[in-house]
Amino acid sequence: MQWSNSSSLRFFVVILLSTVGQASSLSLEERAARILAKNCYSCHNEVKKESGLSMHTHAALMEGGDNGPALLPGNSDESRMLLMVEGLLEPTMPEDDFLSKEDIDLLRSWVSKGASPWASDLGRIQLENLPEIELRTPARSEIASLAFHPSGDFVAGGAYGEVRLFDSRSHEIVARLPGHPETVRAVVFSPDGSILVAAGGMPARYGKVQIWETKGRTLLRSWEGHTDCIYSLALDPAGDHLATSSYDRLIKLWEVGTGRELRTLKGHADAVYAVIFDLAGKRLLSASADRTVKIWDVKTGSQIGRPLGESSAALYSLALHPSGELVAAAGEDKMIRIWKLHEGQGGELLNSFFAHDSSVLRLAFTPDGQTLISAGADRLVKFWDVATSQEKRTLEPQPDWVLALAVSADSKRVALGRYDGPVVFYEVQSHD
Amino acid sequence: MKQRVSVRSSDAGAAVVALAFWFVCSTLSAAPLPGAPSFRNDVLPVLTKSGCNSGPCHGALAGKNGFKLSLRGYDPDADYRALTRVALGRRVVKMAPAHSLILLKPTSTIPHGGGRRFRVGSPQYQIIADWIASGAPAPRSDDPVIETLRVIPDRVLVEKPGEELQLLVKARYSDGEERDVTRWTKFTSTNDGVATVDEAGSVTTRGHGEGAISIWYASKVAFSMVTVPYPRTLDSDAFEVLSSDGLIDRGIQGKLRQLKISPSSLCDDSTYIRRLYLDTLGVLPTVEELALFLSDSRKDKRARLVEEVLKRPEYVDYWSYKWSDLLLVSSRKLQRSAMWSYYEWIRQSVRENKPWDVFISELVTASGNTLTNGAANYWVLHKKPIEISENISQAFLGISLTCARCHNHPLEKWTQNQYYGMANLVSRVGVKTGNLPGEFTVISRHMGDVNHPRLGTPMLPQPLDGEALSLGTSKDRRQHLAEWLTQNRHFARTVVNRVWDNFLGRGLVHPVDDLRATNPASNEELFTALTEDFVARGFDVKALIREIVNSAAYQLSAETNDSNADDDKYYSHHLSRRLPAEVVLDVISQVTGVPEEFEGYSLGTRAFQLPDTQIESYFLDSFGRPERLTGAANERKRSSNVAQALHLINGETLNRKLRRRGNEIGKLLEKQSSTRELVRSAYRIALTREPTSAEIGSLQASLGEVLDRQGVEDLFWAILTSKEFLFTH
Repeated sequence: MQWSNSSSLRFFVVILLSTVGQASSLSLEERAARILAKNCYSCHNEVKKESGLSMHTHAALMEGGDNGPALLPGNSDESRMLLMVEGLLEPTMPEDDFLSKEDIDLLRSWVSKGASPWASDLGRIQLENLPEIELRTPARSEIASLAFHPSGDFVAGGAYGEVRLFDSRSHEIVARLPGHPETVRAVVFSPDGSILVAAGGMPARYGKVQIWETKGRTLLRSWEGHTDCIYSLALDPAGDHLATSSYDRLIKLWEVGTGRELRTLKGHADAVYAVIFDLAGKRLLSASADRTVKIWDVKTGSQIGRPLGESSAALYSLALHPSGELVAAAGEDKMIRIWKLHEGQGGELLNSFFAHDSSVLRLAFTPDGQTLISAGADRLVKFWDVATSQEKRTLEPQPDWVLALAVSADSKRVALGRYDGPVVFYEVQSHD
Repeated sequence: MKQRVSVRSSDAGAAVVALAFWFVCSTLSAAPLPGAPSFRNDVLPVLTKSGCNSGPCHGALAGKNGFKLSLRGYDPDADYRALTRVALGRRVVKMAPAHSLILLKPTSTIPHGGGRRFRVGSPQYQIIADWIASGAPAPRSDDPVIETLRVIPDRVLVEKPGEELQLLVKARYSDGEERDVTRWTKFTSTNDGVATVDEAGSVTTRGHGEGAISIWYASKVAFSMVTVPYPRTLDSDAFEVLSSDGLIDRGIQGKLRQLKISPSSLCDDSTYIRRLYLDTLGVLPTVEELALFLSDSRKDKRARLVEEVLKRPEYVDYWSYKWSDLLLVSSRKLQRSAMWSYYEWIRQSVRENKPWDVFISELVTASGNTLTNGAANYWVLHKKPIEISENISQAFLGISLTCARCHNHPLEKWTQNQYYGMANLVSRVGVKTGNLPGEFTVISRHMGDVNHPRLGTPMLPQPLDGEALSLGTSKDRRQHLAEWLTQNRHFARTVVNRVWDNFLGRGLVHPVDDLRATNPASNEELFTALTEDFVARGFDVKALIREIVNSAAYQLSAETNDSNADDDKYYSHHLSRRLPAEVVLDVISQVTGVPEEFEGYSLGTRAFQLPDTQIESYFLDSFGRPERLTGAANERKRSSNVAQALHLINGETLNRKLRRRGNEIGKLLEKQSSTRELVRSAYRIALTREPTSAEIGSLQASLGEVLDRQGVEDLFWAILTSKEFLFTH
């Protein structure tokens, strides 16, 4: 069987030498920022602050580190950073490399002229200068999130860089809503379907929210927030407030109309994969990789009661029963748990049962309240009777992971979004 | 998202390379793209070599920052899912590979707690990038798997420190292909003082002696032995003392010649008889026995002495005790009657010099009533199959399996699956309670399996890498285990190493029960030859003992010379060590003529005759008596410490024996008239030798000519607390 031999690299490597051309349109400080981003940022960033010095923003650089200021604006002869890159002060910098003469001259010049601030975040600069890696085989975007339009006519699917609207009968893509940097990991329609919210972002960097007017497919507003990508969205019943949850362990509340950040809900110890509002919109429920479901007071931002902590592994999904009385959560421990929500006090575990042979990825109740649908990493989609917790039906095994699940408003159809790309539709009631 | 990256070339030649792969048109199909990197055989080794899946990082039980990989890549399928699909696929971006976190983070393009593991454009980067660009194909069940690993050279003699050499590592796979995997191998030196090794497998010799460079790749291990002889010229007759034909002497001479360490001379007769008695019997020769031996003029008198010693009843006591340490005879977990039954079976086996393979086979397959079949008590001590299989591996194979309980063993080749396969060999043992205290019936059942914790199903009953049984086999699983065990190479090696350690003071493999592949012997040629001989003689322990104590190597003096003063590994001289707890207590009792009282045992019972380490004795505990909970070699503490010294010097044990009326001291006082004669007797009794004239002189001066009780007690006290008495020499 043919397989690659890494010792004889089959890749054709091209070294591109640039002229100063591309960079000449940038200001001195922006060019300085780029030198620092390329050579220094990997050790002097907000996560890894060697010697207490971070350069992720100009302000951070000016704060200096354990050994005092990194540079003295206007005084390039005595600036520590410059002495180190020039090899005049130990340890020389960068640690295992050398700056070119041009780069050192530029930095000196920048410092001499006052070390004026640059605007960017060095991390963003790094992302602008990534190598180009051409695909050797066509890649197909996954569908990571789904929402049924209340009319049932189409579904919104979160894909790489865009939201795709699929006609729910012909299954064709009828519109693409672009503008996301990577995969759209959460989509939600307003109750009347006039607004579509799509969220994603760049993993480990930031989250992004877009508000679309559904009919005209126009972008109303968009904003960034969080320090990692967003995994879940929830709109309150009035449609005024939006909750986002992220890998950065935080939940944020936003004003839909303005994009203004209202509140941050802190408390989870790991990524928050799912958020939902209760029926009245007064409480928010969240499920996290820290194995808990937390209940929050929307107004105050504080937790209500004790977290629902019975799960033994990360939770990936949360679903609220249409009655508002039950909440289901599931995740890595392969089990589905259902709690009864108590007014103002938290919840009480009603039932827990093994649902899949590996992690449970998504849950959804049908709007008629009778069925709970689960999708697992075992590639199975199962339909559970809510009253008895008995398994009613299992779909044929899917070719790949089902990442997204959405049920039509009439409870008749379920749409599945898969890692290998397609959106597929099934009837909730089987006809055998 | 696609942007041409502009790169400045820098003076020092470090260049960021922009990658362009030629675009291969291919239809998406189930078959992998030809030439696409293999996740199992290309990508995972990169992650392992880069440290991504190491214990302190993403290989930790909880992973790091939500990203969890299997430790050192033992679970390719789980790792594949964690990378591509978990958390909605945040780590691999199919559409734009360069944006994948699996490339951004380890290059520190974006902040990474683990720092920069490799650079953009490096071979590591290119393999992962190409894998993603090829559609991030999954590991396949028909992937070639690694079968063997070898390092070239596997032994090398280097003239001096400061020399460099490059190791080459090759892996052979199940499809017959052999591949150079040097770049992805993990290298460690077992002895930095002799040689160090860098990440790329370049070895630099640093000092003299021998050290192994151990290598790890894809859960396989091997090592390269580096020898740097001492820069000496030795006399042509330097090795004369080890010139016998015996395989031990030949083996040791060979190593010493290679390293240029010259052996010490043979010890004198006094030293020999003392050493032999203490190492084999745990008692001192009497004055009469000493005199007889010293006056014997036959050339083969030492060999004859050996024959007599091996017939002594104390031999049975000593070796029964030693194997009781290993087999955990103790009243902690066994009722007295059961404990005695267990102990008696061991004693009987030692008495009849039962071959070691038969002995352990009986133990492993033991069934029946624990009061009548002593060996069955082993199965009462350990109830859980995983405990039993760990104990068997540790005690009889020198393999510590515990790490493999939760993941593939990080240092050895054992996998978690093999761990549970082994446990499933001992999962069908039932223990029924009998009527009498300590009475149990051990039976082999027809049902019962141990489930692999992750897979939830039982593994085939399989002794590590031996032949597996089917789950439904009617063959007694323990029988299968016993057959494999006794034929396993490690089995004979482990017991040979234990016996060797008893006499030479340091196992050929050290620690004595750590026979890891990555912990090589100090003299592998000798170890192999000695073990083969042992097996050829039918696993005869007494014959092995005979061979050892008759060798010139065993008889070397403890006095060192210029070339061997620093050697503590290659047996160029006797290694002085503190006597074990029981020996110290017994010889103190023997010399003073006052036996130690052990509660529940008749007076005159020596420490070595006790079946139980639970018997109260502060003395024995402080001198390192093992608790017999694990059977591991480190249970017996061999080191010396202040508590021991204080207890001996000031404590009750010794002083009471010295003061007892009618003890040996009293008898000696009655018999001896002069100080000189008394001193000579004391030395013969306690130190198995004549005092020197200097010693006699100074002691005469201290004691004076009129002997009194106190003075003689003081003399004995001084002798019995001396290093010469408490240490072998």
